[in-house]
Amino acid sequence: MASYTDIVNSLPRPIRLRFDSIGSFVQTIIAEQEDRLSPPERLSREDHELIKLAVFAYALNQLFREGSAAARAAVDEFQHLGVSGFQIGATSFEGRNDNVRLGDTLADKLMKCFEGTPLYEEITNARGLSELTLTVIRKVHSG
Amino acid sequence: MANAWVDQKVLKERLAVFFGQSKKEVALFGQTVNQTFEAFVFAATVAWYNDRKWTVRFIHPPKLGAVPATPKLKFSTRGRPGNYSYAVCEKNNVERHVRHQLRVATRTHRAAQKKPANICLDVAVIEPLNLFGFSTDDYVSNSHLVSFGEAKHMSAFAELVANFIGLVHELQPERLKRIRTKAFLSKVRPDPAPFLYVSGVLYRTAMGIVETIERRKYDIDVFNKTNALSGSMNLQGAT
Repeated sequence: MASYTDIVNSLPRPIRLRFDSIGSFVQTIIAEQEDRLSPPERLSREDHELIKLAVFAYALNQLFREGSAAARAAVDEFQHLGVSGFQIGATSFEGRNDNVRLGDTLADKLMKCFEGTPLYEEITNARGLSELTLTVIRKVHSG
Repeated sequence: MANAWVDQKVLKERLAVFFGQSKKEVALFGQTVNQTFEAFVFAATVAWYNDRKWTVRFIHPPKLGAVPATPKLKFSTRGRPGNYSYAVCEKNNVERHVRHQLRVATRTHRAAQKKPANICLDVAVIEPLNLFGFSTDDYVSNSHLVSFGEAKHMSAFAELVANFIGLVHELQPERLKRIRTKAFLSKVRPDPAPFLYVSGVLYRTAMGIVETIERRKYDIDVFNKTNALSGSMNLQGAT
């Protein structure tokens, strides 16, 4: 079974760099919470993996969604100025073409992986990394 | 304990399949995501002038032909400026060029120094200048810089805003004085002030630094998805 690290490491470098610190960020919050628990109550290594995975998926989903939002806004802004879009290298962004929608498409596919699990709702409704981390810690702890 | 709540094995298998099958698309997204936000900020800067009744036209590299469908922006900090599109804004015989990823000398750079001190700006507003002969390492003199914008496709924390203040200190240190007095704010400004534009929100720590910027009356701005540079379009308006 792939580990959290294996999954993050499978990402292309420009995206992976954004998520390098999320694992340790989550680990710090977990450690703070576990300080209040007696050793038998503490979370397993597998629990830690699940919490990190949920927070990583939340952040990646946000990045994908914000990527498409920025592309749409840029195209609309250029249209407002009288041109139909823009090019970055050989990649063309116009109207609502595949490149403009790419972030949303990837976000939909990512979230499909969580469908049917309780994490889907938690990730979709979360308002921030810290809040989601604490929520998932609580849910995992209560089983 | 986790398996009682979520089947982690199944979840990880699904994720492995997703990342395996979408490798090419995720790579393309990763290669363009920052530049896409820079494109938005570039267009928003041009829109700032357009909103104030400047005439706007785009100049394209000759390679793209006389009337290309869309402006071509830089993919990275490398590249000859003449190979990319830029905007020309004109009003009352004043002309501004808005460029993407342009290398500009810092205020204290001297031609005689051993290594050049320059910074590649996400968006640079400069006085009219023909850059067709410029190489990738050539830089525009600091005296030609009118204003600039930094685009960060993320939410802002204190350190990011502080880094931006450092950038302004290198490029236009006169902005970091008590400039935004009531008298100053009552006048119509000819150009936007240097700005940091983040695609996300300002975290509390960043908001604290912004509060001190306002108190010190620095002539710089910080924009985000709820506080836009151009009144005609923001990140929340695009659906």
